[in-house]
Amino acid sequence: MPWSRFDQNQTAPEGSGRVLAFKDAIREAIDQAMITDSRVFAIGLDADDKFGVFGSMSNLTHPERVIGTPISENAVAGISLGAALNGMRPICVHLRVDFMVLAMDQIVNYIAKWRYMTRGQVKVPIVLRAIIGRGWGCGAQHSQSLGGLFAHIPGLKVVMPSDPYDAKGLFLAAVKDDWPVIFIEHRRLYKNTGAVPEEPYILPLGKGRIVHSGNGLTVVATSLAVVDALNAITAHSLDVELIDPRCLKPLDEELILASVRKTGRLLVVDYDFPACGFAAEVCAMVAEKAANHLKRPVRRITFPECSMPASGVLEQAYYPGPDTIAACIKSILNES
Amino acid sequence: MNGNTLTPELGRRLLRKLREIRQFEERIMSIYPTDVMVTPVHLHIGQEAVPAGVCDHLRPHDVIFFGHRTHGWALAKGMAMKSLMAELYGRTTGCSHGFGGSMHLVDPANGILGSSALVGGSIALGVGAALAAKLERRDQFAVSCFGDGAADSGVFWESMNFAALKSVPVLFLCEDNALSNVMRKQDHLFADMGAVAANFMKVWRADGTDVLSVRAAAGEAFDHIRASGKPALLSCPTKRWMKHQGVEADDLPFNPVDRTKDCPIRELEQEMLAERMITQAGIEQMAGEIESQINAAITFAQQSPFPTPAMLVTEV
Repeated sequence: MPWSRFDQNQTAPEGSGRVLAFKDAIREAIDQAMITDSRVFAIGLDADDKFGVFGSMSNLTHPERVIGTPISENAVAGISLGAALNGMRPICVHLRVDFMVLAMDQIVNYIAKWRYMTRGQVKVPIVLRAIIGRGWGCGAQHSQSLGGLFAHIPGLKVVMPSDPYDAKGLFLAAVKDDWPVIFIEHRRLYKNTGAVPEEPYILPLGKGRIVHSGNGLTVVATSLAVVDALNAITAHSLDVELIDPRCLKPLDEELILASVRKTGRLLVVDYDFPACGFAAEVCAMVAEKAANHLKRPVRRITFPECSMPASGVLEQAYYPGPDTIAACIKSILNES
Repeated sequence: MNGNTLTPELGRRLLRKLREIRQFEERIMSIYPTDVMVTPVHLHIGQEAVPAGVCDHLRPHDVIFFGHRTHGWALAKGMAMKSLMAELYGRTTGCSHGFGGSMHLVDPANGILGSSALVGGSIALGVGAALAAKLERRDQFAVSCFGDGAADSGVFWESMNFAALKSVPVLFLCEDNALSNVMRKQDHLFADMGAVAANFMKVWRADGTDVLSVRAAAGEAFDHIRASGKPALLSCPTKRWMKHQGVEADDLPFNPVDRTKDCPIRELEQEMLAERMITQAGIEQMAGEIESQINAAITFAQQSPFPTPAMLVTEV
């Protein structure tokens, strides 16, 4: 297995180092995965477009292993599954999460269930990449996150990175994994930069990180919400512990519980629909396992219970941001 | 591909496969009412010629994906009868360790990489398996087996379009019983599937109640796939003797079955008897051997353990 040499416990680089944009970190991960393992190939609608999937697949060493497809997301997910069962390691690309919904039959009924139905006698090494759009009037069908929707299904891992370092290490972990991984990238993170080691490395799926230490409140956030929450915390010097679980599933429960036992308060910021979602899941998990440590009721910041509007004025009202998060944190810290 | 002249060896091999499927299914018919098999079964009786004829060309590492009507395909592709029987009995020694049931079979060593009950979706899996073979330049066939009902689904047309566009060397194999559950074909599919498919790839047709016809056409289709690297479609009109699900004979007014004329086993046996390739006693001996095989499979299943609740949340 060519992947074993990446199994090092890599920690995030401190201070200076080579700086990469989020999209370039993903690109490097895909490139290195393809170089490492000839079984890795990418497939999807516009996977071979001239923009290189917003730059995340530009100038790859193995462009011959990038297969553009017709608008046939459901079949392409099934083709990816068939290829994976027959020994390949496909990366199935979706330029919008919304487009991946067309493949729900394959994802929910086939890809997620194959391991269980066959008792793991065949491996299912698939990465399903999808990108969240937002703003500029993208509207209801080009802006969804849906991480919670996929995490609801047994058999799927769901990864939502928030910075370039995590993006690369988690992506390589996803390709290396023998079982299906949904990898959701926020388009608004694509230009964010950070230090990223040049060599390939793996970050374990299911292990979160403490982004900011504090004692007054535990904030759990994912993807773009991590960046917004950190901005809110630093701008207002708030005494908050910010946790990025990195994966919705498997969830690093212990990291969250340890923090809540310390702070006694929990806020989950999840840029997704509220009902039966990831924020609700984290709140339920904490209520089940650390209720006696909670000094205040748990809180959530999510999208409103409606789809994304188009008009900028409505978008402004729809999306939470650093200000929303700061106000909520302050109100929680001022309680009691 | 192998010659299609009927020889005693070929005839016996095909007859054995046809009879294994038929007798296995007939035994299920007698056992099923006792509820020892708690799993929905979709019997292959009447359609045996299609899996037997197609799989006669396939090697263990060639892969097939099929739908809910699984038993004939699994046996034809080489799955051990006891492994299939134990799965129907819900035991840990079953091919899917009791987690799959009749509709979710797996046998990687024989090219069965899992199977799906939902109609249509696994057509794409065969295309993906063929794409893998193409990317790695392997000498390996991949077959997507489906019924005419699956031809209604979007994933079928998406898969054909993709395979044709990208030159994916897959065989689309339609086991066309002209029924979608209890719907007749003219009520579920507007156009002739093979005629439309011919715009995408080369199409063969065979008599799905005649194993030699199926075998000959499949051989030509595989030759074409190997030589051209392109997909092909083989349509095999056949007859479903049983209800869509369960162990009762079909009684739909638009699905008349002539158990003499529409029987692939009788057809082959008559030809072999006429050509003096087998005797009636030889046929009876073969049937007896298969009955012993089935008895052994049942004993194996009955003596095998059930899964335990401790296994429930594993391999998730």
